[in-house]
Amino acid sequence: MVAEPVSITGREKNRGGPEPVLSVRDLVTRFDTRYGRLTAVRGVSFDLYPGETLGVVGESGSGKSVTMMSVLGLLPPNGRVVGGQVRLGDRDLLSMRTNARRSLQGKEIATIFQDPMSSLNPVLSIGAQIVESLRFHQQGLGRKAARQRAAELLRIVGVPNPEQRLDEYPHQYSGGMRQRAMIAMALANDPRILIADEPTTALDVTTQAQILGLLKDAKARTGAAAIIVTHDLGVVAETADRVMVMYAGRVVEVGDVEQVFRHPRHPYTHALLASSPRVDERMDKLAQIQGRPPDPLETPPGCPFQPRCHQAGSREICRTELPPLQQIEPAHWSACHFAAERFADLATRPAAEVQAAGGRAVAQDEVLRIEGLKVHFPIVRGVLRRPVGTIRAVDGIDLVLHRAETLGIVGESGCGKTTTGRAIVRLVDPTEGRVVFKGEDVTGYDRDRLRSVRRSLQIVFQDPYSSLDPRMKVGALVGEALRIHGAPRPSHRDRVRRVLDLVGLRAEDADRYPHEFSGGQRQRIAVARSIILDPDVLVLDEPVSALDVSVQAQTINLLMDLQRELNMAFVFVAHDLAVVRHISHRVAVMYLGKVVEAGDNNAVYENPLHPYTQALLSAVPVADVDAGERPRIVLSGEVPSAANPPSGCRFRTRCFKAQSICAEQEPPLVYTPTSEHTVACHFPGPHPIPMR
Amino acid sequence: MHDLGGVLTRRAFYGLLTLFLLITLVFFVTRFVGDPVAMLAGSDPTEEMLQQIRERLGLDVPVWQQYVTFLGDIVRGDLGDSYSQGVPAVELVAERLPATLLLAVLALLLAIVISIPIGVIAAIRPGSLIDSVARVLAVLGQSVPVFWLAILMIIFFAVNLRILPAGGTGTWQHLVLPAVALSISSVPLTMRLTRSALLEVLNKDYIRTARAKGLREWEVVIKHGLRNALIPIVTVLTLRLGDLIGGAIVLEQVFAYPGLGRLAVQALHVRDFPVIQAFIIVTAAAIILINLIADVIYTVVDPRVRVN
Repeated sequence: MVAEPVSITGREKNRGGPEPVLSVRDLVTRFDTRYGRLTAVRGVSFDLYPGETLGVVGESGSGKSVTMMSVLGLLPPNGRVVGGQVRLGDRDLLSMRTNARRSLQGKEIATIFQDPMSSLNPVLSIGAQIVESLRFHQQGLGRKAARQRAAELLRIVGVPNPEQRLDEYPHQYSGGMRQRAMIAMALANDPRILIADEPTTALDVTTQAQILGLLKDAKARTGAAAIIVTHDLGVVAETADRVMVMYAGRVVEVGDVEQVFRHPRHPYTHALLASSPRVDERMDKLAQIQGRPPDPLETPPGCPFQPRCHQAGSREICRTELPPLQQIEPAHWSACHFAAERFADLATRPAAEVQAAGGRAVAQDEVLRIEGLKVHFPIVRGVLRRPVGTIRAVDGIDLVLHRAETLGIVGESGCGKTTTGRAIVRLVDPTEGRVVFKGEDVTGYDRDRLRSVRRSLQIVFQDPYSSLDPRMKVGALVGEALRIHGAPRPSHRDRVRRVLDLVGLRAEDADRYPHEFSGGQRQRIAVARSIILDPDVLVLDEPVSALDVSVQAQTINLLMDLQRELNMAFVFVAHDLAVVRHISHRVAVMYLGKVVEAGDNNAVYENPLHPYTQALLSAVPVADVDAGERPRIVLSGEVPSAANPPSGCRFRTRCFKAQSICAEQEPPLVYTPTSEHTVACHFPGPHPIPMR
Repeated sequence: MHDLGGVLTRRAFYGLLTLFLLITLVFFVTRFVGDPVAMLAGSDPTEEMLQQIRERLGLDVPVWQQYVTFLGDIVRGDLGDSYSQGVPAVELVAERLPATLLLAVLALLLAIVISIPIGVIAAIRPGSLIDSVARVLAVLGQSVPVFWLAILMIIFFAVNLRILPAGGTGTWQHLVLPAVALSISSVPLTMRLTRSALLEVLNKDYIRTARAKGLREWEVVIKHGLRNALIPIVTVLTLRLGDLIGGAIVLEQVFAYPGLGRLAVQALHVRDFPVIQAFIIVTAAAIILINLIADVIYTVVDPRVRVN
């Protein structure tokens, strides 16, 4: 059964299928860095067949993006392909001259990048950028004809008023619209291959649903083969025909999506699937992959996943011999010495410790209450900075938080969830409403009185890279709050050490600087800093969204453990519905400054009554190939401006249930006669099509 | 687009405010330079003669009163007559202004033509021979005093080689040495800025997009790279124009070039207050105007400035 890595082209052998359109063999890519020579891609081989969609998954540093950039010849100046072959049809791309090779790009291979804001030139109009692509590859296409074609392309990708929007610049487009424009550009010359590098990572979930649908249409329209590079297993499960899993610069598993997701044949894939929280299912505890990916500067012998493997960590061969990619079954390869074995479930800690968030008894004493909270930001203009409008970031919400409870606040960008979190710890001042902390109204507190409350009300920010002062040592960062709040000095070091231990860092780490740590470790430092004063309430603002899946699972488990040990209440602000489902006891769904649905976690997720919640949940891609084609509610249009929200119900402009009353009256957040949770809708009720 | 007018109005307002503060400052500072009356009266004047001159020039009243009269005159567009030549000071300045502007603008254009291409090449091939040489020359250019360089150039090109005139005015040859000497002070800065701005831009995602479209490398660099890099370059260049006018004034002395600088220095020698004031007001107004023009250029270069 053992096959050479070169013959992963198994498909045509086994199935007599067509020739691949793109064929990569033994690709090796290196970077020269300050720290030395780094091999990011270590002998990657794969084929792309006409019309198929290949999903490439892996965590950061796995080499998935570098592989694609190597194929495209778009490596940064310090990167170099040092070995292998890239064949496009019968041409060998790596031996072609730069200009000749590049002329195939945008024509035969088109690319869609991750961040549509930074990937579009800010000083050229969208139209100019599409026209440029058209006219470069289609000599003889006139200016006028090209413009017409560009407008046509924008129409195809669903940009309203295309003629008019051609002359607009990227900053005048919303994120979703920019990605549409990017896709229009990619489709301009009917490419044979579409490569999309994290095409929806920077987008909201409902926008992501729109864009994934659009990509599917675009593929069907052009008949192109596609590669979708993503860290999101759900996106792969829902869009790809085949999946290639990468780890530490190598392909560890390739196969049909159904086979790989149902019966992963590599422990890494197996663990990755187990450690992703799911929106459609409540898990007791996330399985976690221990440790971190190997340092790409070092190459220990043996299987690169061996130090983290939960299957056969102690077997000799794993430590000494690099497993080759072997064929396990038709169209399924794995680079594991023991791929044929049945994998054991990931070891978690003893069952006694494992307790589902939902199952935990929550004390009913209230620690925090928010009443009628409004946070408005003025829009000012002119020399005199006169206000010309108001952004209603948070526009009248009520929330209650109990001791040792996690309240999840979910919603898409601009819904006001982050502002709510900041208003709770008073990083922004509420415009109206009350924040009551342990029975004490702290809304009107001045600086000095706030300080005493702040030690009990802490916050952890999203980005562990920019939220830690790079010039302070970890010990000073974590202990700073002690100093500010005047704890006796000699005890500082002990407490810092204790807290570092609690979050899983070593005491010696106190003497290191933040840049010496990985993203996940930095977030542990941020958590350590926030809990050192033993707060009652911790606001966590997107604490895991910058982290890879395996590290995310570690961090979520850590937070849940800490909550149990320290009896803290969490306000967990996130856009990731699956993560919120996993960690929260109760959830509040926000839309445009309002809470539209709130209540017990299971009740809201299992039986969403608000059309927006239903649309959100249906839009989340699920990493389950057995889920089949789920009916998806794709919302039309975009979130209206918070400066000028719609009258009545704010969701009505995008709602599939909207009627005239929705424009006239704002629905209150109330229980319905049959519901176990509150909903703000004139027509609450289950969606007509069952969602799962 | 509605905001361009607003931005310009705001800038114009701040410009006028700056101008007013400057006028006030100049008025009082010149009063400390010395007394022009003694110089105008010639040798051995009587107290009566001095008093007469004071009255004629309006210097017999308290300084604050002179200041008020002065402001009133400015509003009416009257900057006074030259003490020494008897003609309106504005006329003297207006007569000399074009020569200085010509020199400054020429130097600026020369600096752009030299520095931007070198900067672009240095950015495309960082660490190459051209980049290294350019870097060394830049340091050299920045550290050499302009007037000293000007004298060296006169010795070399005018005295030894005799291919260009040492000073004066009249033909285009007279402009070569002053313009080149003046531009030298701007080349290093603009070049380094072009290099670093373009290097940064070339690392952006949209450059990768442009490459992914298949464009040839020079198109990527010029059309997508340089257009974005121009934004900081325009900022610095407009600031340089002010410095260049200042530099021109110094160089005019060295090259005996009849521009504003020589007029100002002469006026200062005889404490010809109206001419000094007119010179500074006109120069400042020109620089403020240039900055306004720069704001318009921004909106052409950077569409993000246009809305808000």
